[in-house]
Amino acid sequence: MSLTQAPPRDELVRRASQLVPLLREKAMWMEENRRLHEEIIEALTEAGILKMRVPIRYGGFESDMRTVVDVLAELGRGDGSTSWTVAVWAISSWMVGLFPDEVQDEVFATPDVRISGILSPSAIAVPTDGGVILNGKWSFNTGAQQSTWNTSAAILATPDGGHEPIMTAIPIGDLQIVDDWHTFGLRGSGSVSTVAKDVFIPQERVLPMGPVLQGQHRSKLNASAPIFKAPFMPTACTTVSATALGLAQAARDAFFERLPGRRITYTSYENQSEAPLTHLQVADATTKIDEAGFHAYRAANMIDTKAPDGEPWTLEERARVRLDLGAACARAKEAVDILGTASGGSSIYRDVPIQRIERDVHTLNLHAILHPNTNFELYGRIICGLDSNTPYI
Amino acid sequence: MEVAKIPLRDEIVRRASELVPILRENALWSEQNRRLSDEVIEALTAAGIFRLRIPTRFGGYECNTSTLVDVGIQLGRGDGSTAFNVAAWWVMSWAICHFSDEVQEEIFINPDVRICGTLVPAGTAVAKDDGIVVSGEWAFNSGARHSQWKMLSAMLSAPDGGAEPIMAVVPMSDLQIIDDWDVAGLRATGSVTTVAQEVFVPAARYQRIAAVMRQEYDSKLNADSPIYRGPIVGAIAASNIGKLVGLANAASEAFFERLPSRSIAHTAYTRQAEAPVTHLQVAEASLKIDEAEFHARRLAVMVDEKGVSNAPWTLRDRAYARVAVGRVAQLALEAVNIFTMASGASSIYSTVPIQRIQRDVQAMNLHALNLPSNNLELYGRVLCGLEPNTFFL
Repeated sequence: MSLTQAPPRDELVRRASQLVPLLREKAMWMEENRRLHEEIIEALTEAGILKMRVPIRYGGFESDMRTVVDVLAELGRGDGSTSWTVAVWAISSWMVGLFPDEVQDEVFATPDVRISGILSPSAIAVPTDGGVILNGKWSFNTGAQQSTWNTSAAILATPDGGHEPIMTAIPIGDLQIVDDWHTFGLRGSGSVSTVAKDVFIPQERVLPMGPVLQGQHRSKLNASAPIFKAPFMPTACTTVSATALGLAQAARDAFFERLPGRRITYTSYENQSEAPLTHLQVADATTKIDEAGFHAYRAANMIDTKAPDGEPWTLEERARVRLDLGAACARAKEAVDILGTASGGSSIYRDVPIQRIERDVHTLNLHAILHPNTNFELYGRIICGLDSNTPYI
Repeated sequence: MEVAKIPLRDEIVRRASELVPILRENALWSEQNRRLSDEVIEALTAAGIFRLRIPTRFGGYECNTSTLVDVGIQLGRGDGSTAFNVAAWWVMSWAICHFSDEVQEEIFINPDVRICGTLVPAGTAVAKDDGIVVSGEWAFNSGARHSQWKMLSAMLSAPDGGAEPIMAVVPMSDLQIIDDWDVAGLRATGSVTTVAQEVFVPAARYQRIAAVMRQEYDSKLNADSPIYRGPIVGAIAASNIGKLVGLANAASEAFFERLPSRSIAHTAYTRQAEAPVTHLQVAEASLKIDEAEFHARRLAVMVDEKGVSNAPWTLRDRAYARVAVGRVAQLALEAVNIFTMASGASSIYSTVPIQRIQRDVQAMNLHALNLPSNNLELYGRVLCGLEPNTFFL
């Protein structure tokens, strides 16, 4: 296995920017086919983007969070489903980095390996000799059909009659795919359901989630790497906030591309760009996009600042990252909705990107971990002195 | 002339934060008496707050705008009217730095000098001998009674029958005061009307506003200072923006101080802190305050970096300086309104600070240079490629 030199942040971001035209070109195909285009996967692989959160010893880059946000936002400018899928791959490959080192040797044997993953523990694991037997079904398994491994959460039945949440690493071949991904938004992400029927998972591929949520993991060789010192939820939340930011920027690009030559039908405005209403709309949307960026980067900077020394996180800091995620999604959606509303009846055709962007950002906002209401309530509880009402913090 | 030791930024900010209790104690008296108390003026003087924008050769501190934001936030935490007047005084002392060096020597002989005024050309001026004669009436002269000089603006008649706006500095003793300051918000600013009846102004003490907007400044000694070489639009915006963030913080502090003892009357909630609606309110308000501070600091960094590098200001930069203030005003008002609406009927007593904070932020939003709708429209025009619809850029 050869060690690659991780490209500097600017270089990775430049490569992501260069993918934007291709992503835009393939976006409609991906919507219609409900999966990423093979050319996109090849281009992402060639650009090294799938290596961002893979340990350096396997040829990965161990990119910091700022780089991840920059890259995913650029991909989001191109296509929401691609940005989302790469975000899920980035989180799941990072998650595999928390497993015992021999598991990593197996999974990362291919440095561009694509690992999908799901956080909802909607399966039951029962202990057996040398591991567990897994049964269950997971919805929303983004990119599963185009991945070789899956990190799937489950509930492990303990001998005392209780249960604890675990994460498992499973070859995709051990799971059945149920193609139920007929959706309104993020259609290209191919977030199908997966089913496990009596799947044996060896013990080393079972990771208790309690310690992971507290920031402890089982990899010895990753113990000193800054990116693996960061806690799981802030890491995952910050990663996906970038997709919201990128989609908002995509809407701005799409709006200004169509603006010249557009009028406001059934009014006296021959040029939409001369209407004061338009000025209020674009200024409002632009400031909100800037604010979405502020939230995503505040969270990223907090992770990157604390990670090298493994600085502890307070409950309020963890809650603030969830607030930042909710706020990035909320501001992005507000901005996209303003620009969508200003785009006229002609913008509802499927080949006009802004309507897809609007559906994608709406869908992001409905994700249980991304939903602004849930995140705001959680942060509000904490600063009012109450306990967290979720372990996912 | 004695050159005072210039305190470091942290020291100035520390002094400002130590003023907060004094400002809070005096707020009700000042409001009832429609002027700042002398105790507040003395405390601000002792802390050197009036020197922040005065050249070091006169004993001033020549601070950058990031420092103004820091100090503005602290003063706004204490009292809106105090923070408002200080910001107005910073703007005018900075404006004096572009008059000739001789005029500066006359005015800055006292490094704690306070110059009130506005830039609305509500007066008339005619040439006479080696100067002009000015008459007129100007509303909104914040802190006039605590000022030694006033900056006024008038239309100077040209020989061809036209007129052009000028700004001139006159001693307060040349003016009459009409005490018409009976208002809903910012009551303690004492922003009375001033009247000039045929006041002679020597040529050195007036400037053509068009020349000022083109950054054709009269001062030689300040010409190369990073603090003085930018446009007035940036200096004004950065002087005014911090206090808005400070007032929003004041509302947050006032809310959380009262929260532990509050229930929600006529509901089952015996503790307001436990109600999910409270959590949504405080999270929403908190993130708006964070976003307001983001814009304030981004603006100050832009002003300061351009000051140091002497980089040109694009039209978009200038419009951003305007929209940053507008957006911060809007976010501050939204945040304060959330906290106010969560503060119960008991909060309407004049002794409860949050109702005054709300009125002060509302009044600030109505200021013509802060008004969010105006600033958003202007920024949007520029983003759409139109000419600005104001000279004030």
